[in-house]
Amino acid sequence: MNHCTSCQKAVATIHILDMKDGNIAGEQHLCAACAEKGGVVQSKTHALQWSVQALEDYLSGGKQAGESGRRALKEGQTCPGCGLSAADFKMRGRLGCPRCYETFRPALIPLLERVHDATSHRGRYPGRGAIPTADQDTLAALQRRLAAAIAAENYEEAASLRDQLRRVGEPKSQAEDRS
Amino acid sequence: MSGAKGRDPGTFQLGEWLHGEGPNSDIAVCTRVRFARNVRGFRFSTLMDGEEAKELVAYIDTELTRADFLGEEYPDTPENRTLRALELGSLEDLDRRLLVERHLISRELAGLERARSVAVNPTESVAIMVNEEDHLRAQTFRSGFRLEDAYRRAELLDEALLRRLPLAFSEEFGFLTACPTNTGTGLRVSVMLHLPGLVWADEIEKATSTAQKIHLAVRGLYGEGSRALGDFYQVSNQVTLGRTEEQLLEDVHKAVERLIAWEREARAALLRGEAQVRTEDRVFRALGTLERARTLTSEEALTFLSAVRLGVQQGLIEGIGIPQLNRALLLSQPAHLQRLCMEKLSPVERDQRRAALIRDLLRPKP
Repeated sequence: MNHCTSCQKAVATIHILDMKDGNIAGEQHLCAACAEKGGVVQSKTHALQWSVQALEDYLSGGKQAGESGRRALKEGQTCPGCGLSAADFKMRGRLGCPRCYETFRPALIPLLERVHDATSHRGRYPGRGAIPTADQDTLAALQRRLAAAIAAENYEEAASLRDQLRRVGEPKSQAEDRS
Repeated sequence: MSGAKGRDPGTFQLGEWLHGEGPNSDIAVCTRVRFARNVRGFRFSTLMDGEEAKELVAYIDTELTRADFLGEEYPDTPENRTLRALELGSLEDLDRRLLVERHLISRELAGLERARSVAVNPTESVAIMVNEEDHLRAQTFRSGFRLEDAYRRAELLDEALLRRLPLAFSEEFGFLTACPTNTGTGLRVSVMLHLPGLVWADEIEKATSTAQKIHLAVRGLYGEGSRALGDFYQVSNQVTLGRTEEQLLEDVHKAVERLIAWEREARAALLRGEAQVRTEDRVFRALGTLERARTLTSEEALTFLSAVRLGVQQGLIEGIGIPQLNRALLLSQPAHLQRLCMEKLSPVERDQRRAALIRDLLRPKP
């Protein structure tokens, strides 16, 4: 049983081994509190690092960067919409156009997971209110069918689909001003 | 203003954020709601070059400045539902800084080289930054703690944008933004709080770290990276994806309510027992300085105005109103001060004029 190498008091529960060329080059044993303080682990209440800083750390391979996310950013890959390269995205932390979300999707998913603790939208849709999550798939399907019906000039079906969409996507009545 | 040439301070209007009205306005100065939005068919602002930026700004400004842009449903007068666009490149640097001090644009937008603008309504309760990090940063302001009201207005503003502009949206990721940290709702709800009680009681760090633990951001007077001058703090949501707008509002609402209660407790404790005389001393020293000083730096002015504001709100000081203090707060900022004096001033001259201005504003009026 090791004691924490930082505070020298509590029992170390986190063991960090620095590896170099396959050999252990150094080791650190920390208690939960010191590990959290040093940014080695995050507490449950602070489970995620937010903000742009987190994003930058993530992209530059800093603190606990998601390996899977960075690997998913393929060197040399370029967005056909705007010409932004994976390397540019990594450097700037900003995307270049709406299409980048598709181009860099495999890298974005773990990134969004980390920054927002979520990977898909649950809020407002253009022209409508928030959508209940459970209905999201139905809604997307309805929207696709509606678009298809309009394209095929099948207005009767389109009207019925629109009604269905309205029922599913009805915005919740505004909560009264609480403040 | 005591012999110096310049405009009458009374001719400067106070923007919506300094109206000093609304629920809990003794602590919650202003509520702001903003949506980040982008227009399809253009690259994001951060990648834009000269001509493309000009084209985008011209296109957006034409749409934003249409008569009654906000529409009849928007709860304001017809004049206030129409926006005026200011092309920032055509303004003097001082005027850009004036807009920052009025909280209509960010320091980032002011400092950019590419074409960019801001569209505002006459009472400055709506301001849309064009070509900042995103094509559109649409904001509504309400004085006091009025989240639902500010949000409802922002929603109507968003609907007006959607009527006029093709916005980038995906079913999966929501409203698409240049930075993935804003995507989804693109929503940032923030409340500016005046928290001298927590600062004086040395509890502010505890309070801000509590807010940060529940994933809210706490920033200073001028947003990202700025210091909490004058004991002003802005509390806002960080997450934008995977939660509905209502949930995000609720998160901020709960945290702000808690911070307001905490600030009230701290203020009460500062005026109890042994602490009382120390608090009163600090408040009245600040008042004495503002009433007599011959030079004041911007930071000193903010610090002392904060103490006097606390004194007025806790009933220690009579004869001075919050509107006077808000006017002093705004006009003592460097760009406002220079516009008020209608001349460029050196830092030393500025400190003298600031002291004179505040002396004048705090003098009891017959």
